[in-house]
Amino acid sequence: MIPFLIRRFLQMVPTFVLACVLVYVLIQAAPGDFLSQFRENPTITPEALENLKRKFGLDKGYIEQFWLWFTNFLRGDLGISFSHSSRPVWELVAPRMWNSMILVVFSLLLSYAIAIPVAIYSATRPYSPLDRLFSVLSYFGLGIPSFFFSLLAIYALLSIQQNWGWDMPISGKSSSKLTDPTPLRYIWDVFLHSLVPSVILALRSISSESRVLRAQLMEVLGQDYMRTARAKGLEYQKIMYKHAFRNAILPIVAGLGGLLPAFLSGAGFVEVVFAWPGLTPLLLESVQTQDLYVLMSTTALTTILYIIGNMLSDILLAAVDPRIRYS
Amino acid sequence: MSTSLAAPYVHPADETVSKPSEVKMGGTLRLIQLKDFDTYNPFTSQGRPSLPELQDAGGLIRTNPNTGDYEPYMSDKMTISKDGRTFTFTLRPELKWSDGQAITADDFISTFQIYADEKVGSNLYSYMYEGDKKVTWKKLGNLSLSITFPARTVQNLETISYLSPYPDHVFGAAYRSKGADGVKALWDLKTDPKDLVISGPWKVERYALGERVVLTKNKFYGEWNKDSAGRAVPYITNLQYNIVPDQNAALAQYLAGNLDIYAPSNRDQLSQIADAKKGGKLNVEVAANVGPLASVDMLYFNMNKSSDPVKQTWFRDKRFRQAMSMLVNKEAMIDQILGGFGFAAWTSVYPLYKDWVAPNVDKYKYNPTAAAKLLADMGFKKGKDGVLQDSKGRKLSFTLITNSENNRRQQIARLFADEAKKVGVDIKTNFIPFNQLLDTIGPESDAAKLDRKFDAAISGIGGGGFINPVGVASMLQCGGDLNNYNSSKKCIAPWETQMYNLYLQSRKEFDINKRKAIANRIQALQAENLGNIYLLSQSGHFSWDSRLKGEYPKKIFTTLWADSYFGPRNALLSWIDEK
Repeated sequence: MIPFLIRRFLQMVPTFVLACVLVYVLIQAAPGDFLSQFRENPTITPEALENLKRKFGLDKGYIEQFWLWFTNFLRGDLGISFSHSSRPVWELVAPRMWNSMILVVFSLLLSYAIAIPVAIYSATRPYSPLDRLFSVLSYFGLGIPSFFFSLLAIYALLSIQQNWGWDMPISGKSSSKLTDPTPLRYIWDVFLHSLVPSVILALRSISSESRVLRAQLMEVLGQDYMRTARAKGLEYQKIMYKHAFRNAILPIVAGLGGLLPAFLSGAGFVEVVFAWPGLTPLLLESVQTQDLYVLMSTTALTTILYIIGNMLSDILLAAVDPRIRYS
Repeated sequence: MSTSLAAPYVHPADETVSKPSEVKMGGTLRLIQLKDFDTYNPFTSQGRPSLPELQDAGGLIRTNPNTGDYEPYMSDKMTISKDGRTFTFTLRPELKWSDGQAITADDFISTFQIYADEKVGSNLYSYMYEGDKKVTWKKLGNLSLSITFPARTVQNLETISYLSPYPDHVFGAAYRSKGADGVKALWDLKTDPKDLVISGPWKVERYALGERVVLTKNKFYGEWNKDSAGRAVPYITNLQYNIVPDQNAALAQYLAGNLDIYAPSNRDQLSQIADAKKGGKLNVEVAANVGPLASVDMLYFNMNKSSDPVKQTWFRDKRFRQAMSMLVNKEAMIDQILGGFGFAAWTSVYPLYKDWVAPNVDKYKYNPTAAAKLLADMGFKKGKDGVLQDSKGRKLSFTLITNSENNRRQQIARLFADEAKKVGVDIKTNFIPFNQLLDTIGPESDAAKLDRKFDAAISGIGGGGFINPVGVASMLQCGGDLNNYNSSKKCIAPWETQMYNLYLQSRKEFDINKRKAIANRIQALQAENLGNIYLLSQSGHFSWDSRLKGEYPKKIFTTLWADSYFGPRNALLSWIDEK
């Protein structure tokens, strides 16, 4: 196991460097830079622009800029944000990461809590009316983009509020009417705000996870050793949960490692539509303003988490599947 | 100008529709921001939204929206020297920081010093210089100081009105001991808001990043700021800024009644609000199509195209540009693209400053027949395919670019191309990202500036002051950074030189009528020669919850005096009617 991990760690280095270089080249290949947007503004003088250019190091060569960022990154300095008055990137990213995590974790719990029972039900009673219904629903869940669902949800909530006065939070992370809430009241408020976006986020993974798990379970249940177990008169619960489920869940375990970077890439457009202060809105804004270091550092961190996540998946797989041994 | 007023400052009654007797004190004004504020530090804060700006008292002088004149504000007396370069101020003795310390000349003096330090990188840095000459300032006493500009220009008063003081016992002290870095290290968002020392009406109380900022009344402000009945302003106790980074979500919040102020930016948003109001679901006021915004779109031809001398000759011929101007159907554009919510523009003076728009500048308005005739005079004849060609058989065809993020400009480009096609001008449109557009129009190197890679383009400009709204140097100078049609340092036609010289003259003209007369001459040159063919200004709309009172009276209820944070009102004189 240990030599395997060391090998994986060594492989990680060139992967990481390459990913960083690639992202940097892509960002720099886009026309203009952070300061281009100011050129249309008559109140910013050319001298002021030059001044900013020097301040942000944009007057240096591309390679020098990259090297500066890279060495600083290795030292734990993620650089500064151009568009946020030179605030350190980490200061910007950390609270948003936390916010994204609330949505990601919450929707994850929701999706497993629903997807697993649904999959087990469907796998044990395939082509039953309820299984068919689940199939249809999951097609919708997979087919409709979540930002569109979000917009529908907002306008549904809005008309409910306007017509019946039921005040469900529409957007943001907490309610503006709360002044000085107690910690518990605040947590409840955040929970209410995260409810609708989390459910919408969960819809997609419920659909996909339940379908994957259903297919896996059905395959496992059809195997010879299952038939043997049944023939031996083992009780249903034991067959299902000790043998079938444990084998069927392998692909999902393999996917768990992929969740780690999800914390850093945010919960996607749902965050934007619900004005949830997560990472996605910040990253989109940074793409628009070509806020170099925010983009570079967040991508670099995501890459690292991807690599670590993959390693974790391998370890987890070894833990649940006795056939896998890294030696 | 020399004025003397009894301290404290009294806000004129004619700045609000409310009578002082009906005003109620207190309440929370709920506002929205699309993105988080960056810092509490006024010297490192860049652009808007900005918390330091919201916590500023203002400057030594302010503009009176009713008269448009500058009047003493934090100062109670101002004198101007004979040469017009030195301004002397006496401060109001009641001025205080939010920690109770007096605001004195020292605060202004150290603030100016910090502004002028390049290493600090303040937004106002360039205002402390004129070319390479520095603005100088002097402390004359505890409550008096002077500011001397390198040259006498009309913009000097405007500059003074921008300069807000910051506490010498915080920033001055840090600057003296640790220099620019000491100043920059102060007051980031991790600072406890209790430690902020501010001059303005409201002070940050708490800030939950990504969620909201709550500001609360600074009691020391009201000691020198009174309403016409002698009561301390502001009336409103708290401001609450909700951070909602998405326009749809922001609108939804307004429609749900969670916000007091909302500025609809297009027809769709406006109609959703109007519908909710009509259906009795929302108790709001709507002021649609209030007036043009301080921005304008324009079309221009590239006069620096040395690699294509034929096109360069066309684009440099003023008859060509006049003909093109006559193919721009502004009425149709306003009607079809802006849904009627727009204004035709003719010169570098935005339609917003209608008192400044020169007479008869619409000389080359929409007239395809006249355009065709002018092109015929230039020697263009229709070919077999219906496209005009010059005597050597070269087709009158060019590409018009604008930025791909802007639907409005793209639609303008298409409408113009359609009109032009009718008289035989072939226009291809091409939409590219904004930054690429700017790089194409304003390449870095001098060689590239003489051979720019586009034919014609549409872009826009916004902002700027109202002292001399005819423009800024970089727009009117040959090769100026914002000069779209001619990026070479050398003027191509005499009108360009004339126009720039007139502009320099207008900066030195203090008599507003004479300044307007010069502006008229500049605009006459623009309307005749059409370096830029100005197109449209969009209209501004406002909406606010009916519980919010105290907006501007009709006379000044315009986009010119509207505040980007509070809309068409003076926040100090606004109040909330809690029912």
